[in-house]
Amino acid sequence: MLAAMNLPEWLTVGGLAAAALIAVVGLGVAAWGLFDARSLLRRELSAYFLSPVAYVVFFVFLAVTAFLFYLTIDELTATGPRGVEYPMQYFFGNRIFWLVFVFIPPVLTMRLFAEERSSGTLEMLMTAPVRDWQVVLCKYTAALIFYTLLWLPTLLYLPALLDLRWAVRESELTSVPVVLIMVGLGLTLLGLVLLIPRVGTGLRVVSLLVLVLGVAGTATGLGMDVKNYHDWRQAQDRQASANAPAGEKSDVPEKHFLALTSQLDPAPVLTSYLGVFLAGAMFLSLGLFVSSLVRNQLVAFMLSIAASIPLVVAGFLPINLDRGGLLHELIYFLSIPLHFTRSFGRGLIDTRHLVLYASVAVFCLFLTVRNLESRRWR
Amino acid sequence: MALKSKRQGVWLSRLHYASRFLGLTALMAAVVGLVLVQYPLDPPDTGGDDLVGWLQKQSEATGQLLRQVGEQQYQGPLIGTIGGWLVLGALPVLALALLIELIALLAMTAGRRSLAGSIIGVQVVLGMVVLVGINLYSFQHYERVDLTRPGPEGVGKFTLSPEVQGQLRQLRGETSIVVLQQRRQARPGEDKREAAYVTASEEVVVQKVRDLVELMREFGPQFRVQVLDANAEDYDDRLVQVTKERPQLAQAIKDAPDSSIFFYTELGDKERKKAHVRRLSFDEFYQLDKTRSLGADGGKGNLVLQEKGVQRFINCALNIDEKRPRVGILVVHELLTSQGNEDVFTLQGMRESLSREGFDVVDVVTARWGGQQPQPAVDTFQETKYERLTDEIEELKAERATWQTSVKGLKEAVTEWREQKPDYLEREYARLLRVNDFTRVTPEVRRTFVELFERELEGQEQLLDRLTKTLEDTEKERSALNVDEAQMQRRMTDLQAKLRQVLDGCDLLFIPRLTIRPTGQTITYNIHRLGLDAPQAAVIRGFLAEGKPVLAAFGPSNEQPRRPDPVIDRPGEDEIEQVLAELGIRFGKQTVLYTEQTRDFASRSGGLFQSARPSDIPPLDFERSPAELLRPQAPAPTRPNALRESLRLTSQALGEQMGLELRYPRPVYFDAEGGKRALRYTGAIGGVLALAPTGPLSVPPGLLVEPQPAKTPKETGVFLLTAADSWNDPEPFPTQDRRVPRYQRPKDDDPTRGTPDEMRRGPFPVGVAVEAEIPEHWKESFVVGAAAGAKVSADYTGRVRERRTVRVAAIGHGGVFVDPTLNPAREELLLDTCNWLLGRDEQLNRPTPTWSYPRVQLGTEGVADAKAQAKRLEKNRDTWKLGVVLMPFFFLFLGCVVLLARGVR
Repeated sequence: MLAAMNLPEWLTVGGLAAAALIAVVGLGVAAWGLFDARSLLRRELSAYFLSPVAYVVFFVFLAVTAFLFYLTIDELTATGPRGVEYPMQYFFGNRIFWLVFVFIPPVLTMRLFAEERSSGTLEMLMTAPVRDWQVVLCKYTAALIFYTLLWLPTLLYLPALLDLRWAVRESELTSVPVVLIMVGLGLTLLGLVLLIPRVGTGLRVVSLLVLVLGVAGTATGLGMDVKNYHDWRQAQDRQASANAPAGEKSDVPEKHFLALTSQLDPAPVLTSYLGVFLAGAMFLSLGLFVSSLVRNQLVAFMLSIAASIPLVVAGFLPINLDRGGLLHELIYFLSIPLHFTRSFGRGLIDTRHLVLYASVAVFCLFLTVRNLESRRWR
Repeated sequence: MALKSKRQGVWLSRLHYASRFLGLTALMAAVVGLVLVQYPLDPPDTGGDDLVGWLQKQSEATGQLLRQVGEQQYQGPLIGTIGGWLVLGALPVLALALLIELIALLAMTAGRRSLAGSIIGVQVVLGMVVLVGINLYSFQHYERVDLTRPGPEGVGKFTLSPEVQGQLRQLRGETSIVVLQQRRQARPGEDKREAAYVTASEEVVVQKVRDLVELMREFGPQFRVQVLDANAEDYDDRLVQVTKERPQLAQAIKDAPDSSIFFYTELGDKERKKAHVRRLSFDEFYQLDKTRSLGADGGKGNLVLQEKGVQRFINCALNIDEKRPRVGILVVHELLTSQGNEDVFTLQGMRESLSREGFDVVDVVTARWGGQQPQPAVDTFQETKYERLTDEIEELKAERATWQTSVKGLKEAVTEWREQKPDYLEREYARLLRVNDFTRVTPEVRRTFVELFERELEGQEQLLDRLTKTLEDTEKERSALNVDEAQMQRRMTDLQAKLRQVLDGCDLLFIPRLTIRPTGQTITYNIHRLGLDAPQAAVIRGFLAEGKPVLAAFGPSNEQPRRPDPVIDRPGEDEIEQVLAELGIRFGKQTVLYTEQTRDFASRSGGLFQSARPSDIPPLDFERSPAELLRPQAPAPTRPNALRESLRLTSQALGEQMGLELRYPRPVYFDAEGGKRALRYTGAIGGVLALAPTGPLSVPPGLLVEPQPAKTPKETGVFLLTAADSWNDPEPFPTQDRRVPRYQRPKDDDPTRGTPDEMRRGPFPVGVAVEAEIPEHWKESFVVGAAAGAKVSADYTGRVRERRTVRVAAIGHGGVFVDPTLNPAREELLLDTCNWLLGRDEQLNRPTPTWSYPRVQLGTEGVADAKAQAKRLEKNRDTWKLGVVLMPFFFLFLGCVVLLARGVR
């Protein structure tokens, strides 16, 4: 296969491999940096949960998503010719969502540097034994974690939005996958508990190992169970397509513990969550950069919104994208809500959007670091 | 030294401030100027409601205005001049300020103290370049990963099959796709629920078109979609914009009977650009299945659409310049053509429907009716019209000459009565005076007669004027015809050659024979045989031998007793029926009547006055399988008739709207062996008798003889079947002895027993569509004839020899397509039949996957009772809503707890 490739293909593959290598190295360095400055990360994260603003954000955000869920579930249980083909598209196509969404990242990032500057603690932070990029990364990661947590409660909507159905086979309770899942979950819990107290590095490493083992065990068990279910379903489908008499048992035995089926296509949900995570990551980095530029939180908030609005509002302009043309394509490329209504919300992943979100996020983080560095020579 | 440098810094700083101030002021002035120059500009014509188009055109107009102001040629309002000068004046100042900023930046970066800053600046610029570069690359080289559940074709919803992708990649040029939403006129009494489904389905189809075009753009040329909503307030304006300089598109939109998708492109070089338009109705893309929609989800309803397939849509885009198939219509009189102007005879609706769907129609008239007796002929509609108009002109001229003489006489009379002496008048007009009881011409009598003649003269002159006007109009109409071509055609006296020449340009031949109209009035069957004797039949055999299809729609041959006509009732076989019989198609000799029609007959027998509206009859049956009824003991056909299946699916989708009724049809049978094995009919009839739903009928043992078919037909030929509540009657009219035709069981000694003509209960096949084997001698005759005429190449005759089958359809009703406008059911029948005959099977409806809105059950899937399920669903849904609404309050509570905890010392 490699031998059959021409030069441009070689270049593409080579470029992708290099990018992947850089990304892996970069992620490794970032993980190390975060671990090294974990106390800063913990400080930033706890600052969110000790502030009432975080709970107001939670309240407003969940109230809006609840309202959208309300509308969506009405459509999914409608009678007559009403309905919605892609629930997530309906969800993310609502202007109210974007009206609120555009405020969330600025609220989360406005204080990160502006507060430090106005209170004078930034100088202290700069003298701490961590590098500038570690400071930026810790603040950014804290914001990202909080943002992710903001979305976690919305997972509760999924059983209704996907019409999830499950069946447990108690006879498989002692099977290998189930035992693995149980042990894995136990180890995960233990690892998390061990991470809480302030202990030495040795014990911390042990607790992390326990956590990793637990997660791996759970994932393996789940994977095995899913595979068992998948094999059995495939055998059933083969039987159905071969017009075998009804009631005739397939030769593949039922070995799964949990049969979880989604009546609606789960792909749009997966892609939508991926989209909101990456879009959020981009807006947070933008907000972080703006926060590093000014002293006043309110100014940071306003400027962040001003910087984010062009990427959101283009989706609601009276532009007929069906006409095609370069300009229309460019508008679509830069309009985040349209990415959700036309791609993520329907189960599609467009690499253009992923690249845009990731590149802008990295670039803004880079600018933030450079901006912090500039304090040294100004 | 230090003082000097400080002074320098102050001055530079002030200068820098001044430059920045001027720059900002210039920027402000430019913005104000740009706003002002918009005032005198006309709103641009953007061709829609698109912001991008508006911006593009507005900026062009602004640029032009600024140029005019700069060149002092602007003639508009003062506000435009002021705005223009503000912009033009501000631009150099702005440029100067930017230049100073650039110099200052360079000076700063060149300094030793700011070296670190310069390096960071470079890094930032490089980072920006990388950011733009990466996004530019990804913009041009992107992938759309479709993670949706694979459909029946094994690919996700947003992935086109590799074949389609390949086809789209080959496309060049630009195609405009116009989606026209126009809700069908609601019929009086139409269910509001159904109307809501239609509207909702149209919205979905528009979205599907958008989605599909978005996918197509990934592979093909630029497709542009424009949606026109006929109910929107700005519809007229948008229509004008969309069809600007596109008359063909405008005409197609005007002619569209329902919501449609139009494909428009212009092909060819600049000098010879040719516009192509194709139409696809919404139903051909996604068809609303009303029956299933109303009954979906346990009666709660859901929008159910039949997915007719992406391929049809793509075919329209790919084959936009496809040659239009030509349908030839062979009739015996101009009135029966598709351009006839009598509603009860015309095939105008057929022409309209076919033209709209991309067919051409040509009429051929096989008799000339000008003289005392009709003469065989092969005239196109133009020729017939020319002939008719010539006759009319002759008649009008003769009539005018008569009236001109009369007017001249009256004028002379008036002059004489005014000027001549009484003696002369009494002598010349003695008879007239006597009739009016006058003996002498007195001044009073003279005046009376003058007035009388003048009145008469005035009336006759008016009549003469009208006649002259009619004559001029008729002559104008005749001169508008292509007279030379028409006369050239008329010179061809070899009718066979002429028919061959006319049919050469046709892809499908339609032969209708209207015999019984819905009111029961008849047209003699034999009249349709005029001009279709053995030589013409040979031409039609040749047409079929070439593999070109024929559609025959022959009404019943039964008619009320009348005096024989030597011209019409010629002896011998019906040549065209004979041609079809050689392919295995045979028309029954009776008329199918329905029980409901007995009321009409009873009403008619009641006297001169009768109901104008005939009673309702049951529609054709598309649910029953003709294979089971007609060949109960023969091996089942491998697949249902494709045409019937298509109509069945349409019937299912349209519900009651389909209701295809055929009043006074005639049975049509098909035998693959070309009628050589008569026994096979008996088997078929035996099966029908045995399965007759109207009661147990004794089946003579002889009828159940199972014939041994030479081979199993691939599919059953029957595609139209009457309802069961019908019978075949050889005398479908009230007579003295039988005032109301009714079903009567034939006597045991009836000679028709055991034959297809035996009177029996329905259902009856009234339409067959078959792919028949072409007899070898037909091919040979064609090849010999072609060789003699040297009209076709050897390759072509070789291909004709190799051809094995030809598609033929026969309908036992001559008026099935007679109407100025075809209703949806008949239009569907016509288009499906023509498409099948022309081998365009992809245009037919096939069992397709259905689309509907997803519905969630929320844990109610196990509840069997629909009502209980609905109730529980509502309850579960409300519980979900409540739970979700409570969630934000939980976090509010947490926030309060944290706030309180922070207050604790």
